[in-house]
Amino acid sequence: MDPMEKTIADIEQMIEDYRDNVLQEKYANSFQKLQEKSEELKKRFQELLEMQKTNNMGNLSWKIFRKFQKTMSSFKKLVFFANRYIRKGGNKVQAEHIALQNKYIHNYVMFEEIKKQIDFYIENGKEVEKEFREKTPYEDIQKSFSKFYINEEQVLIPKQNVAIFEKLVKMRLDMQKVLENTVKQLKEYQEKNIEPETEDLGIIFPSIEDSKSFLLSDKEIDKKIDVYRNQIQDLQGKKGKQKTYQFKMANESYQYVIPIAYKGEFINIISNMSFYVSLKNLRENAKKNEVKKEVSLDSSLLKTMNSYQIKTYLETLLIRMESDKRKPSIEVLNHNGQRKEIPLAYYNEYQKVLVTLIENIYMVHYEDIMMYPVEKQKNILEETITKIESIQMEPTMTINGKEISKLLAPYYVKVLDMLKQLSNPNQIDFNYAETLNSKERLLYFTDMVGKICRMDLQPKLSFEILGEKIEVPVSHLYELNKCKEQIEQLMEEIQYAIDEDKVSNLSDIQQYEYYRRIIQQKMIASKKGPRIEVEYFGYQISIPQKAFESFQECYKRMTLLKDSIDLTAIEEKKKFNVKKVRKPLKDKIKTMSAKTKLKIVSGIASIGFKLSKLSFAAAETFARAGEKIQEKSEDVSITSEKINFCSQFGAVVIPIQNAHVTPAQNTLVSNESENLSKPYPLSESYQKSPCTIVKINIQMPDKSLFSVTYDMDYAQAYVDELLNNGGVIESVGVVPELAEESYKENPQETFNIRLNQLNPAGNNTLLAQEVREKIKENGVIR
Amino acid sequence: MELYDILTLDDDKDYALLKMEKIKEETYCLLVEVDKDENPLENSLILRRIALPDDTYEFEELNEEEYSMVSEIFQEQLMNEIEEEEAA
Repeated sequence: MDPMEKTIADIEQMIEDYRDNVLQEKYANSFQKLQEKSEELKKRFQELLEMQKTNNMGNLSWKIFRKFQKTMSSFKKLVFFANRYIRKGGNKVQAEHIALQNKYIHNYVMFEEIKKQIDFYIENGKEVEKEFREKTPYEDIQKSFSKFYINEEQVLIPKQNVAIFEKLVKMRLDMQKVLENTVKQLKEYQEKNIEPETEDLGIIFPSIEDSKSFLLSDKEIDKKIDVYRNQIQDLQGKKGKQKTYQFKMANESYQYVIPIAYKGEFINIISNMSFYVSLKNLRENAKKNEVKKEVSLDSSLLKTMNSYQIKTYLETLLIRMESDKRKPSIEVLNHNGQRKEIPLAYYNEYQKVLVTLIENIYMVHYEDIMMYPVEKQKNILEETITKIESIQMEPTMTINGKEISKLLAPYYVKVLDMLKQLSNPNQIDFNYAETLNSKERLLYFTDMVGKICRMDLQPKLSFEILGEKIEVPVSHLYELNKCKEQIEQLMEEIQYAIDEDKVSNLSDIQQYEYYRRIIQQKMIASKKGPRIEVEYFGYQISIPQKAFESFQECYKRMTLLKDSIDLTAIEEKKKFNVKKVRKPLKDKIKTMSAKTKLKIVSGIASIGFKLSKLSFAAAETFARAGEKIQEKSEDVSITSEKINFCSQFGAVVIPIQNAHVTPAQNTLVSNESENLSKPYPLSESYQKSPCTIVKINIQMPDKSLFSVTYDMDYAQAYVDELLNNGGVIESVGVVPELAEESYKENPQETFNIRLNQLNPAGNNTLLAQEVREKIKENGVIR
Repeated sequence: MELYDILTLDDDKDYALLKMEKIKEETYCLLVEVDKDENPLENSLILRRIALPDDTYEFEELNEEEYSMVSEIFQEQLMNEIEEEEAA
């Protein structure tokens, strides 16, 4: 093949590559390759220029050269834009978009180029036709020219150019289709990918705010998530160029449109949020997978059973758990040393039952046997030792030359120690005491003191222990002092100790609460003795050193229980945190009398209504004024002033069921209050007018006073209730029938009649009954 | 925390601590709400006081049984106080 032809063929092939492979598909990922190609083309271009100089190239070669020039220009543009875009952080989608734009530019140039060539042949045809007609006017033009219609215009092309002309026209039509298609693709890109831009943030890893977050309840976690959602919503409301961010959080996909300027803040929020969303998911999954527990140890039952029943009951529980085949499961060792598979969810319960069973079979409690004679104590202990030695339970360990089950070893050692102690009764065995728990140790040392006191040894002297004076032999003073020291120490320790009897009657959730309270109310709150720092669910807390042992036990049990109980059930009780403590601003509060407090307590506790709209000062003044009046204080002016003040608050109590029950209305039953409640002198006609009872003041056995106002449906019920609870009608409030309308507008204008004043000779109770009868006769008066 | 201190709880209300008693190893408090202008009495509560690890306290509502037990004890104590006050 001619070298020039080969070069042209190569170039054509390269242009094909460029169009099909580089531009259309692999563009974004093959810049280096593209640049290499560009360099190669440049080289070929130089070769072509040289060839053009040395050879007289025809039209076609020249056209290829032009085409080549355009192609080079497109390449350069393409590389430049793409590189710039990638440098600016653009991604593949945008790079493809640029490629498409360049493809369009390139094709358009080609299209124009072809058009120019077509025009050239048309013009050339015209010239050749003119020449032809001038030369051979009678020759048939059909023989030498072919007829074409371009844009509805007839053109004549000389026969020798028809092949290339046809090829060019076809190329132009093809290119037109390609251009149309590219425009369509560009539009699609613009619509789909460019606005709004989407950025994939990938998987968002949770960031933990602090370790305490793990302790939050489900509700608190929901609250936290809501807070973050609101923060995102705030960002979404902000102005600026928006962008779509998509990301994965706790295996879920999310998409938010927010302003680009807030991207950093947004990522912070979602990282924090991710922690709580993951935690929530974890808990929900855990709940879903949790084996619903159908077997649980009812400790209260044990107290009602004999030892045989206990054994059977506990063994049944174990078997029920062992026969449950639900997954996930865990391998455990039963009391006979056999391996069993149980559901993981039962692990804690199984251990609890197992320990209880072993304890019930093999454990000898010091307090249980101490009241027996020494011989019987010995028998019990020896029997237990034989029993434990006879159990063949793997794995074993050697104690005193005997093969003893590891599981039972602690009980074996303890019983051996107890036996040893028995054979040497009056010797304090501190090593043995160490093996006992606080309560048992206290009993042991107290028992020791008793034993020493009972010894028939002289001389004796007075010895003080726990505030009691006892006679003790002088010879054992050293031992007694040791015991005393231990007892006093243990008395302090024991206040932090777990009361196992109490615990055995509590449900899991109650137990958890009980341990929590020992730690929080006793250990943390205690101000006695040296302290020690311990970790408590992520907190660093300080507890008395003496409480350490019990703390460890409480904490251990809480940790075990935590998995098996619903902590949110504990948290259901409403909690109030103290935000701020300050000294009272007014001394008045400090002087609130016991009487007023009692009214408040009895108010909220027994009657079930709450004080409302009553000023603090008024409550106090009310009570004091009442007290003073009852004491027949001479300082009437002050009392009246106070009563005036109080009266501003009107009927001060609104009971839950809407009846008007007013405590501390003692002011209104006094002479002063009668005057006050009559703002104008009643005329004679008013006084003679039949009266309507509008309220009743009742004194309760605890001396508290209640006033029931008769303008509510439940008034009668309240009166009945108060009277049935031992209340005595102290006075009644009446208005003349003529003044009823006025009373409705101003309920304070009540005429109060003290019943014993109405009928001084009568007795209060009878009068009360009289009034009651009257009320009942008339039904509810208003 | 002393008697008659004003406590702001997280319901954003101010309460006066009128009574604080240790009953059966628990500390119970009688709190009465004081309005922001330090006067109107809106609500009264008997709550359990719980010491927190950071030397602060929180209060917890009582269940019905506990509530009636504590209020009964409070009432009895207050009646004794009244008697003492009157005798004095």
